[in-house]
Amino acid sequence: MNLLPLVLISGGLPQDVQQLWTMKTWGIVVAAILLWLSFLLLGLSARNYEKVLRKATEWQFLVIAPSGILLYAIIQAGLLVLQGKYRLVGGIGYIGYGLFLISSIITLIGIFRFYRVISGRRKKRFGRKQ
Amino acid sequence: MVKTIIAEWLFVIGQVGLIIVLIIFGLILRKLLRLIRKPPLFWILLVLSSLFMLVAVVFHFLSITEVGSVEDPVDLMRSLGASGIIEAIMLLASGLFAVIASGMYFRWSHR
Repeated sequence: MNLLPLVLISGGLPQDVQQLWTMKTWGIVVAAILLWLSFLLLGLSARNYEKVLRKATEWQFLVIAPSGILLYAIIQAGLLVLQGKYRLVGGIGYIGYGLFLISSIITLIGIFRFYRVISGRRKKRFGRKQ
Repeated sequence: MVKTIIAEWLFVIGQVGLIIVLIIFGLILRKLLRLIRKPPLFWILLVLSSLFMLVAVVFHFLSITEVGSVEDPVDLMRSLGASGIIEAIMLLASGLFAVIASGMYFRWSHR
């Protein structure tokens, strides 16, 4: 079986297949940007919470953590536009998907910390060490 | 090729991580909405968002396992593209629900 098409370069594929893959790839890129935006808004909401209730939320961590999702979307969109690739393959695949994974894990840690703060399980007060 | 599939698995694991993130996000939103006296049921949007992402993960998983099962590469690409569209729609729905929920809370809390 010739697995070369799985490298997923647009040339040589029938038009309908190319359209399917283009729509799919753009859909995933837009979805990744929306998810990044929602986590960014959560980080900014954590900042408001910290300001109002004077409890340390480490909102900066929550704002920076999802950046890998945005970088993944930029890499994927860039490869599609510049090289016509529908999927991240080879070294760039490891970088793109790796960034997505790392970002997902860091966001999980950040959001869990914030959850502990608002649940009252983390008693660190703003501007004070306990 | 094997390397590509390994990289795809990183994406799947990342998506599973985001499902857990969205569930915890929902729990956070439920508490925060009570705090600002807004309808707490809004957090359901994030549960729905995590469910959509779960469906997307299933479709992505199926597309990885499908690679060795179809003989004709063009048929394989067509089949993967079709399941990929469903995956993309699910991810879009997930992102849209998450951004609506977080956007509404941000707007309410900012006042």
